[in-house]
Amino acid sequence: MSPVSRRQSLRLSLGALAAALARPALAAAPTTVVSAPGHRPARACIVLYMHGGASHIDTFDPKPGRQTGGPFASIGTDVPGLSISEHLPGLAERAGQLAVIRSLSGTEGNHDRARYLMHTGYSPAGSTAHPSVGALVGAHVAEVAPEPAALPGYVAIGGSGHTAGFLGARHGPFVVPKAGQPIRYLKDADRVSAARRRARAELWRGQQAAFAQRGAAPQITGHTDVMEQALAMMDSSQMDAFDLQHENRATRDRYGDTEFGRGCLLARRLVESGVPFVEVGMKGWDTHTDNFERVQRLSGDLDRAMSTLLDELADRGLLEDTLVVWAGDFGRSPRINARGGRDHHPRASSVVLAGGGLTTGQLVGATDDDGREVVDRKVSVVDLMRTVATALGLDPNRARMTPEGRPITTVDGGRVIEGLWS
Amino acid sequence: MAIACRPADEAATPPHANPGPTSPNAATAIGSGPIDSALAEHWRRAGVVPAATADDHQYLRRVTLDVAGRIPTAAEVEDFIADRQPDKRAALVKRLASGDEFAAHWADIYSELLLGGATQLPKGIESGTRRWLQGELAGDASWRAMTEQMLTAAGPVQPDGPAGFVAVHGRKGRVEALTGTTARVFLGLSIQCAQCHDHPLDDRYTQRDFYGLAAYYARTRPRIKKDPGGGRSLSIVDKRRGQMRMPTDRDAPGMRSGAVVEPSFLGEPASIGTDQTRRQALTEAIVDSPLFAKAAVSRVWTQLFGRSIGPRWDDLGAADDPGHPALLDALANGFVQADYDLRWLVSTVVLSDAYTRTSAGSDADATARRAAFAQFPVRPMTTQQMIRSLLVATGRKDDTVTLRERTVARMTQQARKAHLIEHGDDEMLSADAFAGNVPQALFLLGGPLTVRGAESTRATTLGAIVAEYDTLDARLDAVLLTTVGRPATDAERTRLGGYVTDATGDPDQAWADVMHALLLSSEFLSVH
Repeated sequence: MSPVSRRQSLRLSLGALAAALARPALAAAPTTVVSAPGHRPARACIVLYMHGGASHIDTFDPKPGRQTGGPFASIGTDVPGLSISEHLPGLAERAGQLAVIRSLSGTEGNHDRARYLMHTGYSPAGSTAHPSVGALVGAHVAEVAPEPAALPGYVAIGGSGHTAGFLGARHGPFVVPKAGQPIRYLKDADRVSAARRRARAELWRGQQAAFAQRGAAPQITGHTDVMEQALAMMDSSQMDAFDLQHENRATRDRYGDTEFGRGCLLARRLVESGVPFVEVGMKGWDTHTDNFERVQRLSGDLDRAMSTLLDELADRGLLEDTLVVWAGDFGRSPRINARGGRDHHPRASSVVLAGGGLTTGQLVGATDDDGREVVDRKVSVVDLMRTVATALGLDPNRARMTPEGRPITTVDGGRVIEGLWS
Repeated sequence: MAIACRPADEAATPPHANPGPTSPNAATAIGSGPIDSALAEHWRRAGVVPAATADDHQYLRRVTLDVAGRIPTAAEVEDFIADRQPDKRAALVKRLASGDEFAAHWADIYSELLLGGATQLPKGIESGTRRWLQGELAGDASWRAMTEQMLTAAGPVQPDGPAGFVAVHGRKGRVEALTGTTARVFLGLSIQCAQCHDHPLDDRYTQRDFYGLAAYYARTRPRIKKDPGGGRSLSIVDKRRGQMRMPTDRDAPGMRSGAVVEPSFLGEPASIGTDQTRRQALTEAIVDSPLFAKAAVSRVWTQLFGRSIGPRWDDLGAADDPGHPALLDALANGFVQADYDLRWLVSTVVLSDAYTRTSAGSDADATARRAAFAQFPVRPMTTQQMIRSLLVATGRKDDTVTLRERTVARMTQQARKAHLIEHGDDEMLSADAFAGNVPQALFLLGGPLTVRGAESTRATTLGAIVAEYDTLDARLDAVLLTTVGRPATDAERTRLGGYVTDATGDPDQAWADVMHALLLSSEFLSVH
């Protein structure tokens, strides 16, 4: 690292320390569930979400020599039994930092339903709007915070994340469509000074109080909370975390000049500033046609960005406290169709975990020779959700009431994946 | 004529018996008699005493928002207060419901209902469907006629028409999505869960029932084609042959290789005429089902009260479910008798005993009252209601409805692009509600509508107020009337008036600050 970037990173780290002290981490929450004796919950989570469903066979679960295996070669890693696609060399080198789960088995083959399931741990069921895990984490942190934080609890980059459902829109994702672009409307169109803004806010608070007295409803509280958060944001220098211009060229190049690369860089900055949950979406994985050409290209971008993210988190001493999750809608079919593509395949897919104090450098589960069925240590989406919730210190069994009066638990059953903490 | 009417400005009016059938106003009135009777019984059963009647200021603002999709202007407020006619509320509703603004506002709502759940709407389809909806709502507004047109639309058609629903939900062979959405939107049934397995919570509907319904669509081929010019055209063709099959465990998603399923309507085998397409038979079965009216009225009621009568409007269970309250039945019966007229439906609900209650009151019984529709809720506005209201409160007096609607459409599109609002959340009704999350709040705090609109210039309402009125009190009342539809309270005279008086800089700036604070208040941004 160059001296300049080291200075910058130190400054940001100090800022992050201040922020972390100001915002109680997940670890301090009263309902904290500890993953394993001697392990503390992670303070943050970064989800790298592969929209469309990444082919597991062409990434983390290669099947060399099989007719269904495709043209990619696989490369070995330091982890016994683990080879991955030749187009992910950076991650192969860092396999010791990964826990590769090859036995995820889902039930949803439709994109919207699969996305819903992967974000909430529930299949869509008509009348209940389940909150995403990001919203749950954000709500949890907000509950224990002594005062509202300036930065959002759940940020979704390059995708719209998933709603907070019945938890209420104020816990919904703060969407950043393109990392690096300025946050809209944040600087108040330069027409109003900070002093005037504060004066207006005081007038506004007076109106809110009077209206609340006449006929208070939860609606007003929600609106007031959201406005106060927006006002805090407008006045906060912490929002600089969203500005990638603070990073030097070398750093930005290391992540790659792609939207996903910038998204990962932004995720690192946000976590550094105390944001507990960041989701970075990567589009383009729905390869019903031209699977190999597209996956090769996507893998290059993914490998570069994710490797750099892991490095930077480690360098800054954040990796132990940050759970990183690589996941997507579902896997893809072993069968290669007539257009050189692979189709949706929820029954078997791969998920990769890193950081969070996990015991990495391991392989969990296996699929058959073609990658069609799970044959060892099947992991359901609910199991994955319970594992993630536990890693972040959420109580998976905590029940919350929907507006209709139905209790919904954070995770609906399932078991924590064994061997991830030892 | 005097019997049925409530005195305008009375505060605490105890609930009284309905105008009976002998009252001339009941006969010509929009059939609210049976509804109000059902309400009285509903309240009795719930053990609640209804809240006081909303005063004229409250009622006018609420009803203008819900019928015409915007706040009333200051002039409209003054006129309504000054109006001494005993039936002025009924006259107001009639006036608002027969205008273009009713059609525009409810076209927004129905457009979201019909297309909101679809992924990635193709360009031009939503606006085309919305234009058609607006035309229908400006005319007969018959939900039955609209449904029949939407579900049987066939052939090559332009987007400006009823074909959008089937084309959008059913394109690319998505027959399951089309079936589930059809059942939900028109019958209030959440049957889509039964697609993959027998419904987990409701043993009335099996997977076979779901595919029996889907079988009606087995021969329908909806397509959306890109035109050379960049627009879209729709084509919906019904083949002569084609069967629905059940999916098996071995099938990849989207494949169905099991036994053939004949069309059946919720357990009843289909009766398809010789000259009928399956789709036409389905449409008939839908509009003849008692669920059709129940779903329609429940949806509108939920829109206006923020909660449904009994079960969720889209989870009605079964046509004869004993859990359906009598109030729902009464409203559904009235709707059928009124020929499924949506204008009748909206008008009837906003003139009902429930809708005229105040929203004020936060004592221990308030929650129970609201749950029983004996106290009006505080609800968020939809995005379009909010944009229209901001434009009315800040814009020029001579803005026409057409000009305003164009701005509303444009700004809604921008808000969607900026992810400020999302289509069709699962919480269907809050999908379009605004000011619920931080990016939206930022938009309100710093966006052009409020920052520029709150200023006092020649082009804005505030500028006109400052020019027209001379005294502090007169200006303050005008600002309050313009934004929240009522004159200033004494506390406001002190707080807001004091702020302007004490301001050391430009007094216009002080007024802009007051205006801005009001535009961002919950009182402004809610329907209450």
